[in-house]
Amino acid sequence: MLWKLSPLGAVSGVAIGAALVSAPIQVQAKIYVSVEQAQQLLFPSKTFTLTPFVISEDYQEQMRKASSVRQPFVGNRIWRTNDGGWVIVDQVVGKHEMITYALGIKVDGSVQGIEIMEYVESYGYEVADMRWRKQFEGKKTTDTLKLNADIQNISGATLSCKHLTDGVKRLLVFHALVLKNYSAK
Amino acid sequence: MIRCQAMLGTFVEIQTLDPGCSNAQASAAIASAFEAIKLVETLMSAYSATSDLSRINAQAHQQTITVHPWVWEVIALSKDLYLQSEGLFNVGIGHMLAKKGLRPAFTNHSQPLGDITDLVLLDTFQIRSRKPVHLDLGGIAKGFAVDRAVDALLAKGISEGIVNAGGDLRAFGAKEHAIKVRAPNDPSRLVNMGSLTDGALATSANYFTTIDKKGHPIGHVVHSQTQSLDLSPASYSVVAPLCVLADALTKVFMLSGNALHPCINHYQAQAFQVSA
Repeated sequence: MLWKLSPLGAVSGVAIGAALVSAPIQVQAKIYVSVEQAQQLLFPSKTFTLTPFVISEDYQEQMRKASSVRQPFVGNRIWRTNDGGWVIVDQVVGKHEMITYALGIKVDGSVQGIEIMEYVESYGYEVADMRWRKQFEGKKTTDTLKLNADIQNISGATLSCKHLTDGVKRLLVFHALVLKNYSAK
Repeated sequence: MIRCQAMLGTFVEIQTLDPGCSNAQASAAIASAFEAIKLVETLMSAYSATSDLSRINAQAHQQTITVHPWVWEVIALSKDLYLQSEGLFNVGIGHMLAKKGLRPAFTNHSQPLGDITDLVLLDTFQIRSRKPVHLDLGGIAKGFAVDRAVDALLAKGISEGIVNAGGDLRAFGAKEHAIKVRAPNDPSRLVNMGSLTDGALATSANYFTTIDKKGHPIGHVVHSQTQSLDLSPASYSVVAPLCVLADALTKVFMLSGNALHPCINHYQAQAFQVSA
C-alpha cells in the first residue's frame, strides 16, 4: 500500500480544512453500461424487441400511489425478450441525484436483476429541473471517458438506494397492470 | 469495464483496468465479484432474520452455531479490533441501533447482554456465546465485502481495478489512483487527498444525516460507552492495506478523535480528518 498526500506531503494524522484544498464541483456524472450491455447482462444471449407503451393517466396514478414516485413514467424504453421477459429502462430522481437503470423482469413477473446504467449527481440546483436533465439526453457511451474523467474514487457517505427501490416497485406495478397481459402479435 | 449495482444499502462500483483483458473476461470477473458482495450481504445482514448474524444473535448463547467461514473471520477480526481499540470498535451494539430505530429488532433478550468478548470461536467455523449478544456488523461488513470482491477479481485473473462501495473503496494493482473525500459541510465539494496505490480508503461522517420527526438529526455511528450518536461535523478517513480495516478504523478514529490512536497504527493504517 502506498498513500501519497499531495501537495502537502505525506503526513499522518493531519486535520485538513476543507476550504484549503477543495475543488468545487457542480455535477458528477458516470456512465456505466449502455442499453445493449444492460440487456445482455440481464438476459444473456436473448433477443430484444423494442415495445413502447403510451401509459394512460389512470395507470400513471395507480403507479404513483403504489410507489410514491411522483414523476410520470415514460414507457418508450421497454424491450420484450424472445421468451417473454422484459427489460425496462427508467430514471429515478432524488433531491441531488438522477439514476438511470435497467430492470429485468422474468416471464413470471419476478425481478431478474437491476443494472445501474448512469448516475448523475448535482448540488446547488434540483436535478428534477428539466433543462438541466436535457443536457444528458442523447449522450453516447463514447462520451463516457469525458464524463467520468476526474470524478472517480470519492470516499465519503453516498446517497442511499431508496429512490431506486421505489422506482423498481413502480415498474413491477406497471408489469402487473400492463406487461403481464401483453401478448406478442 | 465498469459496472454498478445497488448493494449493501448503497451503490457499489466495480471497475477493471487491465489493458490486455478481454471484455468477456472482465465481465465474468465483475459478475463473480458482485456475487461475493451479495454473499457477504446475505450472511451479515441485520435486516434478515435468517442471516448468519441474526442466527448468532438469536441462539449463540444456547447452542453452538456453525457459520460461513467469512462470518467467522469477521467476528474474529471484530474481537481483535475491540481489544486493540479498548472497546471503541464495538459490534455488540445491535440493541442500541434497534432501539434508535436504525435496525429491525429480531431478538429481544431479557437477560443482560454480553459483548464480543463473550463469544468463543471454535474450530471449523463454529461460534458459541457465554451470554446473549446483539451484534451488528454495519461498521465492518461493507469493507469486508469490498475485500472479497477484490479477491474474486484477482482469482479471475484481473490485475488492476477498483471496488468502491459507497465510498469505502480499494484499489489494487500497480497504478496510482487519485483519491478525494467529500467536504463534510458541503458534499458537493471534494477534497483532494493525494494518490493511493494498492490500498483502501474509507470515510465516516454524518453528511447525509437524516432528521427525525422532532427535527433532531440522526447520526449513524453510536458510541457504545455513552450510547450517544456521534454528530460531529467533520469527516474521518482511514487509509489501510485492506478495506475491512479502513472501514472499521474510521469508527475508532471518529469516536476517539485521535488520528494517532495506537489501534490505527497497529493495523498499519493512517488517518486524516477533513473538518467542516
